[in-house]
Amino acid sequence: MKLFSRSSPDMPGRGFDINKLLMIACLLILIVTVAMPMLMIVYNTFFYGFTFDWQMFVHVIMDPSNVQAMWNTILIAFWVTLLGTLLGVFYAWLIGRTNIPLKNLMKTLFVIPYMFPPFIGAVAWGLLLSPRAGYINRMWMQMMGTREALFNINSIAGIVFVQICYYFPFVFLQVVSALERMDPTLEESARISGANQLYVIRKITLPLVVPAIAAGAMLILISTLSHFGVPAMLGFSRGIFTLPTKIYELINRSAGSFEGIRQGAALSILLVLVVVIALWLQRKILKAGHYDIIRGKSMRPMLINLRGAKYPLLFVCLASLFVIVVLPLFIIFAVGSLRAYGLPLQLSNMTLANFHHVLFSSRMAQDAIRNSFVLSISSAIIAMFVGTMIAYVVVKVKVKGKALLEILALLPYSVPGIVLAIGVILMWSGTFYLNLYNTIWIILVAYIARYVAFAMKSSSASLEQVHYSLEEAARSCGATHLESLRDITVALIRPGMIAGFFLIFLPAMRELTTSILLYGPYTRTLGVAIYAINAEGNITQSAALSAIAILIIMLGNLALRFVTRERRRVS
Amino acid sequence: MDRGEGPFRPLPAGQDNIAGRKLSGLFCFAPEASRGRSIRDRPNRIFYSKCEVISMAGVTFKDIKISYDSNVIIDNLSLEVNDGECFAILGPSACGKTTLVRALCGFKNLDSGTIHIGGKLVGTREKWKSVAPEKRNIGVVFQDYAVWPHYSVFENVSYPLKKQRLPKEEVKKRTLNAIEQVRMKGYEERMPAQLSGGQQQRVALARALVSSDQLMVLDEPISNLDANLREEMRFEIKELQRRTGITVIYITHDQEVALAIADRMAILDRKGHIRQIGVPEEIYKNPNDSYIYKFLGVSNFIPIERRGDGYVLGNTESKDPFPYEVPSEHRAENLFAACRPVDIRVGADGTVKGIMKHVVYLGNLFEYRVMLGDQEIRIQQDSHEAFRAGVPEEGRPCGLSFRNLRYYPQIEEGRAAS
Repeated sequence: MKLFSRSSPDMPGRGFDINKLLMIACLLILIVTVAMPMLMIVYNTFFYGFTFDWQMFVHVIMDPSNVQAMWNTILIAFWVTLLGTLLGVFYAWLIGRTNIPLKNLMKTLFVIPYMFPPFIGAVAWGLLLSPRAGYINRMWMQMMGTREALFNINSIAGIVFVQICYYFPFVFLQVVSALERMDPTLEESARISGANQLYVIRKITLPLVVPAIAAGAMLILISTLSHFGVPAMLGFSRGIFTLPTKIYELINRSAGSFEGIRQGAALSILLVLVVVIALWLQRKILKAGHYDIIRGKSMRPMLINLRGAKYPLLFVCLASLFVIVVLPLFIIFAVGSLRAYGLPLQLSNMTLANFHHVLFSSRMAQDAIRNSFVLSISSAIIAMFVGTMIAYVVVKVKVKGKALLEILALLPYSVPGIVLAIGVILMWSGTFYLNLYNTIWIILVAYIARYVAFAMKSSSASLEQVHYSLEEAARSCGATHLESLRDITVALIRPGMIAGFFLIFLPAMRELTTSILLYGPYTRTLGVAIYAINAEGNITQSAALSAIAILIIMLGNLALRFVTRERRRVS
Repeated sequence: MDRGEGPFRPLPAGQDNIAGRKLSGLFCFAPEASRGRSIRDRPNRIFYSKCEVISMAGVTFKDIKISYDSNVIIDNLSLEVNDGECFAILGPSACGKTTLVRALCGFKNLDSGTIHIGGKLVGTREKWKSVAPEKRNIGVVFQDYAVWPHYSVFENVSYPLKKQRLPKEEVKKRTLNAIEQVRMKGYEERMPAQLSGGQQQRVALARALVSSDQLMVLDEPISNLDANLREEMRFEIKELQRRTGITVIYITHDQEVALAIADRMAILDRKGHIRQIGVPEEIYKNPNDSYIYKFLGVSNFIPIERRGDGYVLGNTESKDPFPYEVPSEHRAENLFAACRPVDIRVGADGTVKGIMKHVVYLGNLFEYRVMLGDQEIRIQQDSHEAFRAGVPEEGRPCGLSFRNLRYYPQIEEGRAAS
């Protein structure tokens, strides 16, 4: 009867049904925070007041500069996804399946870009490779005695390069874990049957990890299509726009007028269409069958002896780690400590004045740090509870309509942050007698909508582990439904909830895409402040603030690691 | 439960009794005389201060129907479990045993019919008339134990008492008592992850014991244990039930456990129908039909056909005569003669001739496979006896004689229900 007894929908008893109540509450929250903003975008694109108006939409999507932005978006997404996936698979194979030395160290280092905010990476690479002032370009020009820059980061290629640096870990992490869980006997039996090493890799190993590659590649694709930070940092000055930055520019140029927002909404629909088509295409191309041969538990894989290639490949790994991780980190901290941007990186030019200024005298920076903390913590707490509630309904309760609930909760996962921001503006700036525009609340609402899915995923993973009989045992021991939830279920998934908190807190801390459309004079977030200070030309101060942001995020990641290790120990 | 504390078993004010009413008096009394006696002569009564006398924890299922969506699991099932007895419900996997238990405990609502515990209606079609699981006062041991991993042994066992809002000392006393009863003393502070399967199961048992003093439901509680532990736990559960006089409903698919533990038992078939109810010895001796005969142990079904007044073996080409008298009430054209492996003897004097195919030595037993025509017959013989009489050789003809034969009509098993 296992098949049926998964959930306990119709228990006898008087009084209201808590499960139903939870379900209704979840649905209401999601409709207000997620569904309505999305509908508002569609409505405002095609209706002006109450009159149908499709000309604006046509006008916007036929505009040559918008079409150019769309092609840029697609071009960048294509190259980032392709190269990022290849890079991720290559490193994953090196670390998961060969006898390359220093594996654990490299595994840790390769994850660092994962937590590094890409737009800060863009700031760093701007400092290194901007055509005239970049430190590397200047060194190159001095050495070669030329006026030609080595590499212009303010270009499509530059944007692609920086995004790859920060997105390839998506594939890397997925594939490493798949390789570690793969049954080594599958490869061994191929070797015994007379296949050579390359043949095994091509015909056995690769097909088995294709689902993992596809999952990682999909993450890259969604992220890069809706990515705002890097093209904004590197492309604006050269007039290189992608759809997200174009939407921002449209609204920014019109100074937040309704017409500008409507045009942004129309362009948002185009962006969502591009995302949907790209996902569909990708699914078609990587029509990956699922193999059940990857087991849940760790196995000892058969390692490939690299022989002579061992040290050259190690050098390649370390060099790329140096470029991806060490160099940008170093330049951010170094420039943050410079007295003025452009001075040579010498100890005599170093000062702590920027940090002091950012932390103690700049109103904007102080506001930003405080706002980001308040927003991240409160949105993480709220989204954690809402997400857990939704996860409970989806996993444990058998009610009609839970599929809708799941779709609504996961929708913001694939909707670009900038699109969500426009929906939130349309929803919360007086349309329904409530104007939150220019207050911190509108950012909070947007964050909650954006991050509920994270909490839901984390909590439902824990909830799956809580067998229904544990709750039922409490019921037959005399606990009411509410008591059994509190004493057993919530107590057992608490580690998952705490992990969910950090999974929201960390990205919220470095958020830029959503808040850049929603901030008011006193409600800048860390990301917005770094962006603004950088745009003002106070490069050293923006670097200093970036350095502080990085430190906060690293500490948060350490905390997350600690929490998840605790969890593993308990279970 | 701590019935051994004194002549009276005090229940503090405010605790619900089985009837779901608050006790008007402060105490209810269990007569001193009932302790230490066998369950069968224990008075099935509990005396309230108002001298109201009700049946304590007999369970009555009446015409119940349970389904999941359109899938009917149990239809039209009626069953009565007496107070203070150990009742086993035996059935193959996926026959609806667990569903029955879930309905009894209140985790699944009925489509129709009623469930009464101790004369009080707890389950019916209308949800609002049914009693919520926490108010049914049933101790449940789940198949997977459902020991809460974040609570220590003590916390697990004391949880039901805490929910009854008992004073702290009382909780502690009763918890320790229950832990001692399942022989887990000294493990109070352990976490479930530090316990073996058998120990976890005892914790679950102790928890069920303190959560109800009248009715305990065990859903395949020992099927996950290894053979030795299973035997030990089987004994302990029975012993505990005798000592406390609690009503036990024991769900299992293992006929050995059911036969060993039950005062009475019911056998379910795949469709969730009850095939037979009775005392284990009686059911084993007189199975209603071939389904139950097969279910209760390894069996041989030998087809026989009527020829004139006598019968011949249907599975031999030469239609050898079947040398036993078939009772007149069974005399149909085609029959099965059913026989357990231990009830067949191999020897030269046997009148039925077969060919010895395999001889397997199992220590205390010899197991033989004998070809009777085209049918393979399983036979078991005590080792000592076999050594005394001479172990038969493989490949040689041998004679068989049968005891305790039962006859069943040759019809499809599905329709064999009486």
